Amino acid sequence: MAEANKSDVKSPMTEEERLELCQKLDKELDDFIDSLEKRRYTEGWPEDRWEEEMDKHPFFMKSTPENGELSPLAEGLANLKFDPEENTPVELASNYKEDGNFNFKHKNYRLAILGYTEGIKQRCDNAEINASLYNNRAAAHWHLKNFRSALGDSEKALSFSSNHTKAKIRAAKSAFQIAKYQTCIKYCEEILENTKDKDISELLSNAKKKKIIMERDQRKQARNIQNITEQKDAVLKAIIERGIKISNCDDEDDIDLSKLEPSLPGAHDAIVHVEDGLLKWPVLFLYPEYQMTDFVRGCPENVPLSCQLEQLFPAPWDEKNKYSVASVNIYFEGYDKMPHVIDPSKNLGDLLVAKYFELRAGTPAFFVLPRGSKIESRFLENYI
Amino acid sequence: MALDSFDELIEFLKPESRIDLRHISMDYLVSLSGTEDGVNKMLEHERITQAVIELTDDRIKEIAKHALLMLVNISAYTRGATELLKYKPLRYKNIIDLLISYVLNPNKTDADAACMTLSNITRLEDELEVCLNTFIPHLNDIMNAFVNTEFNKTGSNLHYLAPMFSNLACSHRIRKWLCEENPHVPLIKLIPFCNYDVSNIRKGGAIGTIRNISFDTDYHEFLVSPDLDLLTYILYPLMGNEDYPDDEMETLPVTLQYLPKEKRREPDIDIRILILETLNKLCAQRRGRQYLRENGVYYIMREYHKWEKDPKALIACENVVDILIQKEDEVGAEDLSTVEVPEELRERFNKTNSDFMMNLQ
Repeated sequence: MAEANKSDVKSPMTEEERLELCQKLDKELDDFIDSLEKRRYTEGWPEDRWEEEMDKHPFFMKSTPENGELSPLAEGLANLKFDPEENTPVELASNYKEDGNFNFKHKNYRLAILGYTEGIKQRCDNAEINASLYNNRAAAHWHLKNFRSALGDSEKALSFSSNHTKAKIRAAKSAFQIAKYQTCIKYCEEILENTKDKDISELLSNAKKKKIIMERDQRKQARNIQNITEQKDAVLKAIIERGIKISNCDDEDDIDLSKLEPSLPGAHDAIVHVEDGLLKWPVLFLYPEYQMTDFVRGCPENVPLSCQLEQLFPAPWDEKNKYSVASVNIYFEGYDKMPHVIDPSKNLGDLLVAKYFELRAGTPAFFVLPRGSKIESRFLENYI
Repeated sequence: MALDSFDELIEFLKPESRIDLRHISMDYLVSLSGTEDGVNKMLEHERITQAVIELTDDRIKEIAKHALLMLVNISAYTRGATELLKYKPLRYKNIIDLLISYVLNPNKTDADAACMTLSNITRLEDELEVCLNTFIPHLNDIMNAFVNTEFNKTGSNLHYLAPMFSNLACSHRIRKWLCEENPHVPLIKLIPFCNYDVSNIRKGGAIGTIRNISFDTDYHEFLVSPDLDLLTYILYPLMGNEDYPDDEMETLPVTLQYLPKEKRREPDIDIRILILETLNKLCAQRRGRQYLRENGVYYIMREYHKWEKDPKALIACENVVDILIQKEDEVGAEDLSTVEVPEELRERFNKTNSDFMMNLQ
């Protein structure tokens, strides 16, 4: 246009001249453009991927790159916003809160927690910001199902702002999740003092129900433990009273239930117990001839040993029908490592306090051999 | 004391008289009010009683205390309580209005004596309806003061409001108030005190209130509603540390399952009987009987019966069991409270009961 202006100054133009000049200039411009080198624009962001590119740019990026490395520019920008020298603690705390909120909105709860934590670390003196940092971190924890942390943070938030309803509701809900029903009830009741909230009323009544069930379970467990302890004590007391000698026990104080547990596989639950003041023993019968055994649970101490044997005979392996109460000798191995023959018409309890008797593995054991048989002599010879 | 000496006494009781003389006069009157004769003598001198009523608010705490204790003593007798209702204290409608103001004042010393007097006065069945007009506007406040065990800042515990509520619950209007939302249901606040071991007065009063409501079948539906959970509270005192087979244990209210070994039954026989009477009343209607059966009341009664020694309590317990062990078609009545018992049978039952008690004793 400059040229046109000049010609204006030179001399007045006729309408015709003006038109001609315009056309000429247009053509010159077109020619110039046409004459320019045909080159593609490559420096900008490609049309199809511009959003992606924008995300990568430090000015616009929404999250840290996946490899966690920030470009120097991004770092610089970040530093500017989060630089302790450039910001007051309150500004920093609120900047970190924004950062946390941003990540929270994008469901990056772990990153959000980091942001809020940084904010909290500033220990700024603004109660509202602190309450909100803790409350928001509680919310992030809640979404990650970290209910214990959610409760802790909610309570922290409440310590900064005691009427923070959202924090109170989250505290109640989190407490319920981790079975702290009493805490849940406390918060629910506080909430309901000010507002009528159907959800909270429901939570409250659920918490109350759960609480009484939990307490019942605790009582039940305590009662069971107590019963077991009483049973144990009764057993030990009975054994000590009767003066039964137990192997590996130096004196009365040394006796405990572990020394009374039958060592036979699968028999540990057959341990001696007290019923109506009577000791009931597991008893092991061994038949060396056939290398067979019988294990009898709960033999009362006031019953003759022969009665137990009568139940066992005739034995299925006793093909020759040699074994009967009348035809066998019964031995126990004493603490002198010698066999001692016993009278099976005696009560089990009396046998346990016989001279040389010693209780091993909580199970009285008796060897049963046909009287006068070879196997009996061989059995006895082994001890000599 | 002669008539003129009472007149003299009035002079000493006036606020402007010498403090030591007032103390001496009060001491004398307190000891006088300790006997029924003494109370009757005092009541003959209206000015004395009037003066005592005013002195309950004396700025000297000791004098106010003595005055309040005198009211407790006077109201302990039917005549005294009836007479007191006739007085009109300065600035208050009547004695009840005055005493309520003491109860509701967290800084009033010896407010317990006011509670006791209220409890005594509300025992008067004939005067109850009249008292209620004064009570009703304050009931919510009184209940709130009662449930807050630290309401009174001077050490009064307001336990005696419990028997007062129990007395008031003889009136239909009060039962209605206790059981209806306004905006909270007052009974719900009261029920936990059925297990309040700190004070037998409070506990007995709370249970007594429930017992009195249970005489009114209109409220049975409310009393046996699962949300109220009444049985949990009233059965607890009847239970010890006994063991139940698991299937029986599971039917009991959850709170009562597997009670600890330290648990002991309620030692107060009156409280136990109040509960048994309540259970008996709750058996009147089919719904109540079903509720009791569903919650294993029978098992608790069975174990309780083994333990109980008192003949009256044993009969009360058996009365409950007799109904509970019957099937509904054997009970044969929807509402037992409406069944008319012929006078002749009633006498026979009473005789059987007293014979039974004689045998036990």
